[in-house]
Amino acid sequence: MKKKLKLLCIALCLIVMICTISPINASATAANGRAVLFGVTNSGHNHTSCLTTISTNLENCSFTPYTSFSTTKTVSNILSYLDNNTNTIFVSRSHGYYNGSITTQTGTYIKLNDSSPSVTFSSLDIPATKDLSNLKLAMFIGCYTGLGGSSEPNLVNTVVARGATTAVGFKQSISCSGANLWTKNFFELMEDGYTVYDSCSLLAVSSSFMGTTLTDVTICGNKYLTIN
Amino acid sequence: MTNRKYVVVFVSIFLSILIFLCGCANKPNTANSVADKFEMIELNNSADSAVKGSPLWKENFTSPYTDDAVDTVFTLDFQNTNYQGEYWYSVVENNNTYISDFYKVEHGWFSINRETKELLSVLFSDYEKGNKTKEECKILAEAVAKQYIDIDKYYFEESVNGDFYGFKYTKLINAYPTNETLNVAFSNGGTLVSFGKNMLNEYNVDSISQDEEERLDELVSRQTTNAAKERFLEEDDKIIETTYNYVKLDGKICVIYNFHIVREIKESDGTVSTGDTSRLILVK
Repeated sequence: MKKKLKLLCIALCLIVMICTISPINASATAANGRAVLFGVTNSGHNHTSCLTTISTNLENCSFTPYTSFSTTKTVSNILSYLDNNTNTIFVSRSHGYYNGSITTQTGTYIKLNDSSPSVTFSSLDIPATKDLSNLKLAMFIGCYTGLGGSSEPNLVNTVVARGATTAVGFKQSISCSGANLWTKNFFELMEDGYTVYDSCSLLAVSSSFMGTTLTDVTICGNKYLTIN
Repeated sequence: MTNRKYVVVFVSIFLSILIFLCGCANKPNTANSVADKFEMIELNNSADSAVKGSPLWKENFTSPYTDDAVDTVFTLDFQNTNYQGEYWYSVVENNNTYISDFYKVEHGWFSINRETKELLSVLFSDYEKGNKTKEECKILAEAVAKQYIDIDKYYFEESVNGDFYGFKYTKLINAYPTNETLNVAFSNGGTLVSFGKNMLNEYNVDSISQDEEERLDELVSRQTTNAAKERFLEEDDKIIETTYNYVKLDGKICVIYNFHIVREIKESDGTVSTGDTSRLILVK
């Protein structure tokens, strides 16, 4: 009888332990780290909804999505998003532009709000000593963020030069609604196990984007990166 | 006598100038007369915002969205194969003229026109890699495209992206590109990876009546283009591209001009930056 009670107690304890441990694991950062999804809430433009929808793709790839939709972020906020050992993916959705002229750029930037002149986060704001090796993938979904390609001092090239594995941006001005669609489709393909390069290439020949500036992508670093 | 001659010559010159100036003043301004003949409405202020209340305005213009009213499952018959898709999202397409519903399949997705249920696009990501050349894939693409359009009447473009060859056919009116296009893409292994058509169904080139064709030609003419530019663009705007898209409103064929422009923006601190945008003008 005592033996039976003892076994019952052990079984109950085990059940309690399993029930207690499971929620802890569920709430912890997923195996592949945290994915920061940063959208600037500009007036007249939707820079947030696509980030909400890709959260599911990232969760399915064992990342913990962290969304930040704001108009008050500063350069140091963005730097802390990029340079944080918990963060392995960074995706921004915003307006973008270049420092200098289109032919002789000194950097490219994303706009952090609607004011004029707006607060910006530029490739020039990333110190040379910054170590971004925590980042597997950085995506700057906005106009001109990858202006000039992989040999120019744009955001895409700069984060890879500071240690990020792969970064993606756009060489030209892009449509806002098209960019939202592109982002959604891109992460769907990434979840299916395609590389960054194959996903971009496939979208470039899809009927939604063929012939648009969204096909003109800059990929720096390891273009064969997969996240699933 | 000599003085009288001078006076006559002077008066003649003066009258000639007067008549010339009056002639100029009374000469109808071509742009204005064309603009008056057609009703023109601006549909947006940027590529991504349609004016609420304009004839083509619909909700959710800017981004993919999910709609609970859409069938959750749809079976597509494409190239003799059935694909069962699960509803994914919807998009308001083509200058806000129709809604496409996207469905996921095992490796890829397809979209259909919500109203007509007509196929709009497919993307298959389960493809083979190989060594086929662009020319070999072009032959495959033509075979597909010919099932839908007379490719000789369309402007042809091709592109290479990674392992994929893309082929695009665009309908021209008066040498201007329209949004009526057909895209086909193959992988270098010979797999069809993408297909898309933006035919606006009953308005395609084969089914437009002679009268409608003439009206289209008239709408998409140099004169109307200039009139639309004069009325809706600023003097310093630089036009990158002008494209057209035609729609039927209340049974009447209309054209939407899409002027892709670069405009200078003066910031409050005195600096000048340039930004590009699209202006959509509906001409009835």
